[in-house]
Amino acid sequence: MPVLPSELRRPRLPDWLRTPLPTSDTFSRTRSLLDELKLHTVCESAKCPNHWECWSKGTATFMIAGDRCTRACGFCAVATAKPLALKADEPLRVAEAASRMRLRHVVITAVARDDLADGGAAHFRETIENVRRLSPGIVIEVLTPDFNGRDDAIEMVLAARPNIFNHNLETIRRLTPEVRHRATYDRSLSVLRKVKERTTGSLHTKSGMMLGLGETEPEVLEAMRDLRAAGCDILTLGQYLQPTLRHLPVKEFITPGQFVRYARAAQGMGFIHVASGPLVRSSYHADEFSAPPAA
Amino acid sequence: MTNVPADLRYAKSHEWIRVAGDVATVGITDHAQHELTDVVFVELPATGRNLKAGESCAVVESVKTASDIYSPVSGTVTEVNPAVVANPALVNTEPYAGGWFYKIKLSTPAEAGALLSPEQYTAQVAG
Repeated sequence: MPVLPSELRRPRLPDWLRTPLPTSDTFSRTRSLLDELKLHTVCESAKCPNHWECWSKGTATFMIAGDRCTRACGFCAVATAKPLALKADEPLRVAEAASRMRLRHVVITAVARDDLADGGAAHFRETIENVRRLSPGIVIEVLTPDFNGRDDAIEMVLAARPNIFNHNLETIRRLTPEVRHRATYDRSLSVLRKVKERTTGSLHTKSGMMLGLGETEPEVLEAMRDLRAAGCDILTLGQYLQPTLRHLPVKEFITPGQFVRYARAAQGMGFIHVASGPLVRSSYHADEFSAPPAA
Repeated sequence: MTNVPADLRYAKSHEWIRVAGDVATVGITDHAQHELTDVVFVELPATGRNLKAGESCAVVESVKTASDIYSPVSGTVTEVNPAVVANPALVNTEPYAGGWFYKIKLSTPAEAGALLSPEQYTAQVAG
């Protein structure tokens, strides 16, 4: 009986985590378009398990400001490296892609850019403005880093009037120091709170957590309550999967039934939309909750 | 550019077969291994198992995903590849050689002709 090398002895993925290889033409066309416009996606950079499904449906989550992040969170496969200069034409290329993909709802995320004075906020604003110019009426959802909690950076993104502002809490309070890098639990809650305070109901806030890193149920419920107290409207909960063997190991595979129980608890707490399941990610099927465009 | 050998037939779901007489060797394509990224586990069917074309018969796992593999043809599994079980990275490095999955004695040889030609498969994955 052949013996597996030690680095390969990891738990098998449970059978509820199967994803079929992509076979549609749409997948290939989405890939070609993204290659042509030289755009990064978090789908590829973070090795999302839903990548094939979403691209086969002609949707993708654009990642702006390069594919080199200034942070090194233990759960994320995006490369940590000294970033390159921002590309001035990237906002327009994202807008062109969204237009050619005929998206009605677009999600734009970015790497953390602690090397930039504004943390990349102006680049976010330009991207939002370009996307809206080429696709009037499109619903724009942004998934942002914490901008180190800076009001001016947050306000710059809000000035472009995205429809949905997503900033992930990622995990419970106790695990934050070992799971995230430089980010803090309270700063993330503060970002969400500040966004809500500065917008007058024309915008929804959203946040998400990955489960299976060692949290207990009471801790997850507490984090959900903390998010609601910060005014968070939309919640996503998904199973943490280890992107490479150098990342945090999976402590537990949360069952589909437990995800359903968490969803019910979240709805009881007043979140207006909850996506909770093993393969759910921040922007998975994001267009299932598509707010009307800002006035 | 993805490698699509001219002497094989292909399934839409990214399996390939190499036919020799009434036995076919089955594996997954270079395009598939590229999409999967690093393969860490391969689960193969038992020898002696009867398979129908399109039936799921194996599982390929990378760190973030597990995908079912479907038998492109019907028949009986005669042999499985112990090397790829011991060293799943062969799927990435040698998808058409050392990374083969199983051999199957064809019950309906005509099925092989109904699979995609190298040109048709290339067109499917090129976009």
